[in-house]
Formats: sequence, C-alpha cells, structure tokens
Amino acid sequence: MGALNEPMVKPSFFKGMRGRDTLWFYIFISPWLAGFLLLYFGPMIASLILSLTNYSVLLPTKFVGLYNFEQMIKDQLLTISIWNTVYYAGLSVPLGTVIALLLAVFLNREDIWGRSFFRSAYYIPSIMPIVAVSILWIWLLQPRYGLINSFLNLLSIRGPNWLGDPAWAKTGLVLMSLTGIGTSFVIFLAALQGVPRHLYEAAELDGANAVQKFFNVTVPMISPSIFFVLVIGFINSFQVFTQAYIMTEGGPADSTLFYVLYLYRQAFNYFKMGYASAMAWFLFIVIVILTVIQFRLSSRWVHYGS
Amino acid sequence: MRTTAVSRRTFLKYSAGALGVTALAACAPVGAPAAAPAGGEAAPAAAEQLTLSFWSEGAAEWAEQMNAQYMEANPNINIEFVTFQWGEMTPKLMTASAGGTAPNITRQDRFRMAGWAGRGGAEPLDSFVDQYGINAEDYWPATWAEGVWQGTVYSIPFYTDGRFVFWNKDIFAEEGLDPDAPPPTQDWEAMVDLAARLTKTADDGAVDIMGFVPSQMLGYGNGGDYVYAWANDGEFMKDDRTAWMDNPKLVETLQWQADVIEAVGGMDKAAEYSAGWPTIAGFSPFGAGNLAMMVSGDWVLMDISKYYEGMNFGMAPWHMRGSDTDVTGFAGGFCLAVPAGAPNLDETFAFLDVLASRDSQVLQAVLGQSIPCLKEAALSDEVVNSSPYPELRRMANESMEYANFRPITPVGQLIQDLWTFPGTGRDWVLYGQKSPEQACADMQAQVQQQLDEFWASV
Repeated sequence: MGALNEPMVKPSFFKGMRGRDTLWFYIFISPWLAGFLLLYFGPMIASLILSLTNYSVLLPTKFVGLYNFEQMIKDQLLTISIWNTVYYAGLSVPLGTVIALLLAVFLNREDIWGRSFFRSAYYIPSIMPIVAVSILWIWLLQPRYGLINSFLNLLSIRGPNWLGDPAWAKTGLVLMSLTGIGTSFVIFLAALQGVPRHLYEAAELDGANAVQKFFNVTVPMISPSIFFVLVIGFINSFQVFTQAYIMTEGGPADSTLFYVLYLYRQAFNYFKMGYASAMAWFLFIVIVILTVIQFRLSSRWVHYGS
Repeated sequence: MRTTAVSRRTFLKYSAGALGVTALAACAPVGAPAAAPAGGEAAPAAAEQLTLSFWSEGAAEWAEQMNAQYMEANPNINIEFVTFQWGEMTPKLMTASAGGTAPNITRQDRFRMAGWAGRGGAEPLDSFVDQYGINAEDYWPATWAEGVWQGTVYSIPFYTDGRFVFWNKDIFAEEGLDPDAPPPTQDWEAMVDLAARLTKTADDGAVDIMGFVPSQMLGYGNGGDYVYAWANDGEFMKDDRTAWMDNPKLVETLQWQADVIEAVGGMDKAAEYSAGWPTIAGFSPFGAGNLAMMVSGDWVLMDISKYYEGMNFGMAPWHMRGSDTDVTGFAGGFCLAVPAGAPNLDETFAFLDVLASRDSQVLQAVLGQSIPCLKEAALSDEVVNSSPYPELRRMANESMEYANFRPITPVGQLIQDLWTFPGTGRDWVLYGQKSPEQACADMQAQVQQQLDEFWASV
C-alpha cells in the first residue's frame, strides 16, 4: 500500500537533463516531422477523402461514395496495368536481388584485381538520372543496331524488338532495371563484411564446400539485408513509372502500361483526380498487404541472431 | 585575440536553430514581394512594378524576344517566363491552378482548350475580344473554332500547322513512277499497293526502305490518323454529349491503316524499322532516303532544308477518299489563353494583345516556320518568302482555309490518345489484338464514360 501513498510523479518532458534531451530530440527531428506531416501524411489523408469524390481540380467537387472503386473493377485497362506491374515486379525484384547478391559475393573476395574499381563501376549506374539511363537503354535495346542484340547475334540468336514488341517490352524494361542494382549490391557488400570469418572456418572444418558455405553460412547471416532489399524492391517496383513514361509511353499495345503510369494519365491527362486517388489507395493497400506477408514469412528464413 | 570555445552541444543547438529558420524561409512563397524597409517608404518606382507570368509549351526564342520588347516598352512590367516541352505543361498548370498560382497567360495546344474551358480553368475572353477589336473573321476558321466553347471565346489562335503527304521523288523515279505526281491518296487500295511496292528489304530481312506507314510511329509521321478519318467522312462525336468512336467510317479507317501495315510486312517489321530512328531533328528516315512516303506537318520543310538540303521531295494535301478534286487538311497548333482567376486582368489583356498581334505571329512564323493564325499574316510575302520552299509554304498556309480540326470536347485528350498515339487504342488493331470493330467499340465505351462523367460534374 505504501507505493499508492507516494505522490504521483508527473511526466515532465522538459525538466531536467532527460527533458532537455527530449526537447532537443523533437527539435532535431522537426524538419522531417514537418515534412512528413505536410508533404506525406496530409496529402495521404486528403487523397483518401478525394477518392470518394469526383475531384477534377477545376470543377466543383461532389461526393460520389464508392463510385471510383466500382469503376476500377470494371476498368479493363486498369486490369492490364495491374498485370503489367505484377509481371514487372515479379521478374525484376528477384532477378535484381540475385544478381546483386552474386556480384557482391564475387567482389567481396580479396583476391580480385581492381576490386575497388569494379565496386564503383557497378554502383555508379544506380545513381545516374533515370531519364538519362532510359535514353541510353532505348539504344541498348534497339533491335537492329543495339548492343544487346548485336551480342545475341554473335551467339547466332536473333534478338527481339525489345521495346517494340508487346511480348518483349516488359522484359526489356526488366533488363533495364538491372542498371539500378548498385544500391542492393552495396547493401549486400556491407552485410557480407559483417559475417564472422570463424563461421566459414568452422564450416570448412566440417567439410563444407563453397556452395554449402554460401547457402548455410552466407545467406542466413545476411538474410536481414536480403529481406530489406526484397521489401524495398517490391515497394519500388510496384511504383515503376519513369522508364515507361519516357521509353514506351505505355506501349506497344498497353504492354508497358504500368499501374502508376495509368494513374498519372487519369490524374493529369484526364483531370480524374478522384479516380486517381482511389487507384493510389488501392496500390497503397496492396503494398501494405504484400509487405505484411513478407514480414510474416520472414520469420521462417530471416535470422537476426549472431 | 580572444577566442571562444564552442561545445558540441552548443554547436548542435545553433545548427538546429539555423536549420529551423532556413526551413521557415523555404516555406515562404516564391513570388512574395520583399518587405519594405522598416521605418522607410518604398521607392515609388518599386510600388508600380508589376510581374506578369507567362508559360509556353515551346517557342522559347519567340517568347523571349517578345518579352524583352514588351518589358522595354513597359518598364513597370516584369515578365516571368517559363517554358515547357510539348505536353509537359498540363500537369504543372493543373497544380498551379489548384494552388491559385496559375500564370497570367499561357501559350498552349489549342485542341486542349475545350478541356480547360469546359472545366472552368480558362478565363472567358469575350471582353478582351470586344475591348481590343479582335475579329474572328481575320483568323483561319478551324483555329478560331477550337478556342470557342459553348459560345464563349476562351483563347486567341496563335499559330497553326497542317498535315500533308510527303514523297521522295528519287525513290518514285527509281521505281518507274512519275516523281512529280503526288501519291494517289484518294484511292486507298492503290495506296496499300504502292506502300508494298516501294518497301525494300535489306539482306538481313529488315526493312531498308519503308514504303509507307500511315500511323504515327515513334520516329516519324505525325497527325495523319485524323486526316484519314476526315478523308473518309469520319467524325468522332455525334454531339457535345455523345461520342462516336464506333462510327463505321472510323472502323474502316482503322482497318485501312492495318491493311497498309500488313502490306509493308506487318507491325513487327514496321515497329522494328521505327525503333531505328531517334525522335530528334536531323535523324529523319524520310530525309535519309529510307522512307518513300509519310504524312507529317509542314514543319518538316524546315528540318529538310536544315539537315537534308537538296533533297528531291514533294508535298501535297491528302485527298478525300474517292475524289480527285476534293482535299482535306488538319489545323493543329497553339493558342494564347488566360487561366481562370489570373490577377491583373487589365495588364494581362494588354500583354495578350501584343502577344497575339500580327507582328508577333509573323515573328513566330519566321523563326519557327509555322503558319500564323491570322490569315493576312499567313499569306503575306514576309512569311511565305521566309521559307526555303516558298511555293510549298504558300500551299500549306492556304490549306488552312479548308483544314479540319480535332473534336472540340472536354474529352479531346482521351480521343487523341486512343486514336493517334502509339501505345494504346489504335495499337490494339495494329498489333492484331482486337478487330477494328472491337477496338472502336472499346474506345467508344471509354470516351463516352468520360464524357458522361464530365457532364455529370458540371
């Protein structure tokens, strides 16, 4: 009972050393907090409200309930854009992750001549402006004179019309997405350097070969990084926009009409901001669900212990 | 000398303070006027200064000259000029309009005006027309019509451009054709045959010389898709509230475009060929002698004279289907408009009058080799003779008398995207995914839905 009779200590944010630290904490994060509230959270809430209206920027806005969401179900082009986006994400994220991981493993070896140069060389394309990269890739993927088809010709393979054939256009953009693996590559490289050497030595003592060491030591030890790269990769690839906007304009025959490109057209070509807001919220919910699923599944293969 | 040690904590405090002040400063409106000096009076001249903002899709050289002249003649006016690539201004204008910071004047694509006007995004210009004695009869009919929505004037036509069939006379002569005789555009079946006949394949199976691809592709051709529809008596709208994308005439037109592409080797060949040409001036398959015929705009004349001097080519209007005498044309181009809610309307109108004037239109026509929307200016010697090909220039400019125009509707952008742009709509047919009937029916459903939604919202 004695504890109940003690005077209640009021939480003090700004008293004493702890309070001052708290105050400075909030001052330091205030630019981010203000930016988040004003530029992200505010517009998100606004777009949620707008998704229930026919907002078109210029005309008076009317509440339309779930009309926009009903129209989404009937919209054939929306279905195509979802398929295109899922196809792109499903191919580009695993492919990019595997290639970035293999590159990182290779360039983590100490016996590689010019290691620093190659590390920089693989990272630099990922920080190049996407517009410049897109224009470069238009020519790399050019069917008759492009570097990729010229290389395939050496192997007696007639390369496809990457960006001009609906059957290949998405694959062409997936190839291009490999330009951006530099960021994942650097994350993997950092993670690999954190794997204790004695684990490899122990595995070797147990007779493990290189492949066994990779799957039983390396992959589990860097699994948090792989998980991070996958989550961020899926979030980003579901929002793919610029390359299709610049390189293919969604074509040919809607084959690169990605979800966000279609959303952009609805909003800025056709003044259908309410519909675009509904689309944005659908995408947000899909990404949240996918991320939650990935987190749930991660408990089976991601190891946080040392 | 006395020095003061700054602790890490103090440094961080001041840094945070400075960051906060910077952030607040960054939040101040860009165009906010500087505060008057405390305790003093602002200079009289500064008080009279006025800034007008002017946005333009392209034509920067013309705009900068006009702005400089206007500011010199009106020292109290400052023109804030922003230029955009074609098609890039709409999103910015939309967000600026939403934020109440739209410019005073825009120079924008004319066919989009109905979309802006119908949604209340443009200032009615009837009072400007009255005040400055603008006479609709002075302008080419198509260009004036596109700026009027529901009987109200919303834009002043500025410049226009036509669409014509171009042919390479050398390729025609090599094939044993009369190089001076224009392609038989009145006979669509003959055009299919001619396209196939003029197409030549290289050793590796790729197209070396393309006979003709009627549809706009990445790399060449522009705007023919509308011309063929009009040549076939095709209309896109029945009335303001009813789309007509499933018009049988449009179905026929789309089928014919697919037939031509099939005749030259199919869409795979055409797309592969198209991918070999960058969409920048100086890299024209027509100019390089790898394209026998194309439909494009009269601006091609400037490109040919600049990059392919001495090229032996012809240029002629497109005939109405089945008629040896009647021709049709296309009036594209730009207008000058005032976004809704623009401040300082009196000063804006005064500047608009100068931008829309004859001298201004002539300057743009000479610099950009376009067609002034004022008839007298378009037919003047100073404009016609500024062209490296005066006879063709005169023919192009005179064609504006009979030129057609895109449907005046708030859903004009969607119609254009579906009917002409690579990527969607017409691609369904050209890539063999849908029959022309099905494609046109699907386009009809999309356009009509957007139209219904528009009319339900006004």
